[in-house]
Amino acid sequence: MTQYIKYVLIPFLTLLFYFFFPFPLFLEGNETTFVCVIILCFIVEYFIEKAKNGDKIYMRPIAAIKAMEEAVGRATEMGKPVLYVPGISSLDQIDTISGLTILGHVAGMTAEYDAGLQVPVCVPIVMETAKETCKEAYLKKGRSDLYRNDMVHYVTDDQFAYAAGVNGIMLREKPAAVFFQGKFYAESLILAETGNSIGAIQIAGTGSSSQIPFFVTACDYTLIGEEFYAASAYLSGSPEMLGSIKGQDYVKVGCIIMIVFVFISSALNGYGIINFDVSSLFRINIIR
Amino acid sequence: MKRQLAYFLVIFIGFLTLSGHFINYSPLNNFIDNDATQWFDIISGFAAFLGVVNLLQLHLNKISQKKDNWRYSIITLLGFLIMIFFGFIYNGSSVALGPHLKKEGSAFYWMFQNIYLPLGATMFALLAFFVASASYRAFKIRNFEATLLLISGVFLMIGRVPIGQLIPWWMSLEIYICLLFALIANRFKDKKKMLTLLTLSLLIFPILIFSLNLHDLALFKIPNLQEWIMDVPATAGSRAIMIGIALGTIAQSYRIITGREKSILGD
Amino acid sequence: MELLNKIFIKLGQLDRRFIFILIGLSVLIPLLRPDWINIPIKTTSNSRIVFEELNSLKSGDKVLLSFEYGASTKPEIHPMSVAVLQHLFSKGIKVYTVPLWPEGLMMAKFAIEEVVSSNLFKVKEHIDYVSLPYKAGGEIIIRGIATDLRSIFTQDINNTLLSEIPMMNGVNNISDFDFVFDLSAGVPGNAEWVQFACDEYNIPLSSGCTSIMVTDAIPYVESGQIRGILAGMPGAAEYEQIVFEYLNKNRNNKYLNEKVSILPGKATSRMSAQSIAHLLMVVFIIFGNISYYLTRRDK
Repeated sequence: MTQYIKYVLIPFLTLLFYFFFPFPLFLEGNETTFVCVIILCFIVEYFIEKAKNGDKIYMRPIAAIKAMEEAVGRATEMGKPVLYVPGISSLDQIDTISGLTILGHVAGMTAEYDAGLQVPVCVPIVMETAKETCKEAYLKKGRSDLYRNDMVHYVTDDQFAYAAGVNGIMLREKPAAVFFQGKFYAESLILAETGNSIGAIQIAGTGSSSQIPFFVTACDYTLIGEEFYAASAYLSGSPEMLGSIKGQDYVKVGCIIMIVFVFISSALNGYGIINFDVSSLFRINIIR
Repeated sequence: MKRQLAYFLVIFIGFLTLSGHFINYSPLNNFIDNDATQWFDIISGFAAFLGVVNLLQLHLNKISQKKDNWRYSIITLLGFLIMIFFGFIYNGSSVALGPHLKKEGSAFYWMFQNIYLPLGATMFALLAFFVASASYRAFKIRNFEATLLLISGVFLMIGRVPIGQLIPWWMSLEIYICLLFALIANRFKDKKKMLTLLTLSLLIFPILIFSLNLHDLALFKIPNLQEWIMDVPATAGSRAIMIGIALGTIAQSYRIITGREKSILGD
Repeated sequence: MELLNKIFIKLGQLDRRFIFILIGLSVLIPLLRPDWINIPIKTTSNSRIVFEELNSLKSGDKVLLSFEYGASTKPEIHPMSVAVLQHLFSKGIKVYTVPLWPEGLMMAKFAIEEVVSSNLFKVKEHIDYVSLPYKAGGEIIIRGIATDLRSIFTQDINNTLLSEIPMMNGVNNISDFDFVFDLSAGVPGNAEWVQFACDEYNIPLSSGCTSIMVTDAIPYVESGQIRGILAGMPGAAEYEQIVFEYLNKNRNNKYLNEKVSILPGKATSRMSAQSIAHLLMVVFIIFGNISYYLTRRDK
């Protein structure tokens, strides 16, 4: 009963309040977004709660995530450092934040295995955040003595100068494992091919759909799109984090159903069987 | 306490930003649209100094302790100091410092035109070489999926450039036949039989297509096929990844602003 | 036969430095000797859509041209900027340039200078075009242009107050523009213009971007949120060609100087180099596959 109130009644009342509030409390034009945000958040929250209450969650094995620990182990055995590249964007990109959350886990592994870690960064504010992330990860593993201040260092803000700098590090120091986790653009292949040429085990992850093919070609493992965002939850293994992934999957099922529905109704509208174009609810500036 | 404050800030600002997108309250909208973003810019601006300090510290340490490859650090520092000198101290043109950065004739402008521009373009141009070596390695007929990748890759490569228009219809047809056989090659146990069948197909199909007057079909024009690959399968794939990324982003953001994702703070 | 097999296997295991040399030569020779290989350029539907969209604008219409590329991507995108500017100036359209990348400021300056110094168009600064300065913030600046341009920009790149520029009269936000054209090599780029400004305010948008970015942008093009796209160097060459033909057809246009000759753009001459490089890559792939097949068979 409590669950029913929490996950059905509250969102329903919120939506009622949003649409029927008599005063102009809400901005116009964001209705579809609001409905989507409310539904999505409550679905994710519901599965987080379920996971917290002990519901078992099956997670499809993701090779790239499993290989992370192996890569750090390999670097340790070879006595070579691990290179972690957090992309070239600032903290206003969710990819950079995801990259930093994964860095927290990788730094924990390097602390545990006593492997060297190098994090060259492109944006100064990311450098500060990455430093904190690494420092805390080493502290949490009880190995703060291994943390060095120059582990995370600034290279340059310029995209290709940064690529040249990171390539230089790869060619000189020959890291055994290279992680590319963050937002990447045209420099992705330049970096990944150099890593490939030195024989490093490479694990990439990005939300830049145009760069995924390059990483798939040149790296050993690649986290594609949403896998990349789920990696941190996956690595933490905590039920509530995993629950959010299950919730996300259910939302995806909902999206698929919506796509099929819009497709069918648009087709019916196109053939003149129904008079309402459903897609007009979702699209604004369309020429065709 | 320090840690709790950080969590509180993440959660509070997260929800405030989200609500600013929906609530019609001008101080809140103004804060989200202008103030908060300007704060971020100001903090980023100050962080630039930290970046510079870090760069100097790192390379001065390397030089003073004569670490491996310390000589490269001298070049880095020299580059840094030269740009500072021409950007902030030496002008070389008639206009004031500041506007001189975009004034033809100033030393900084000269360096931008003659050093920075060619170096940037050179690094980008390296992509051509890396794309060549990567495609050479990756485009192998290993299995069905790899073959499909190869086929679309080859069509895109030829179709995107003017040379694709010069390919006559019969050659496109021969390419299709070869690629079709590449796809089904594993199904043939007797390779000699496959080779005979391939040769026969290569000879018969062009005559057949020509006699049926089908050679004007858009299918036999590689640029058209390239456009179709980009507009239909590539767009479909791109959209699927885009939707996945959007959902992943929302779930990740939700975890962060509800304080569940703490690894960014080292937890 | 055995010897042939060995040759193919060796070719398939070619050191990547040889590949680099061959690719280098395949690009260098056509660039140095463009007259050796002359391949006609055929326009694609997306380039034609861009042209038709811009061509449907009337004299005096206002177009915002956004520059989001830098030194590294200049060879790919700059020819588009020049061709688009030529097209707009030839129709008497008012152009407002805004850089969203620090280097975009210089790129906008170079493009304007190149077109103005050709003397082909009768254009004057502050009457036919105005260059806005760079402001940090990316998407925030796009949002600012959408809602209140004057709160972000108070003067142009030459420190002239916007209130003193005649063509800035009545230009306060995105709705005062008739079209936005985005020249982009990353973020912020065309996707941000769709999300933060053009879609919401119903302002038509077209874009020119690097070849790598096309797969990211194509869903927006297919949904009509971006009206046509110039994709990388081929897109630039196609647009140059369309504009070249258009200018020659409209030689007596009142916005053009009749005495100045019309020259083809730079991207057109670079397409031969790209064609040969692509062809060479296909040859490598074929050799790689023959070698792969032979080694697998031997095993």
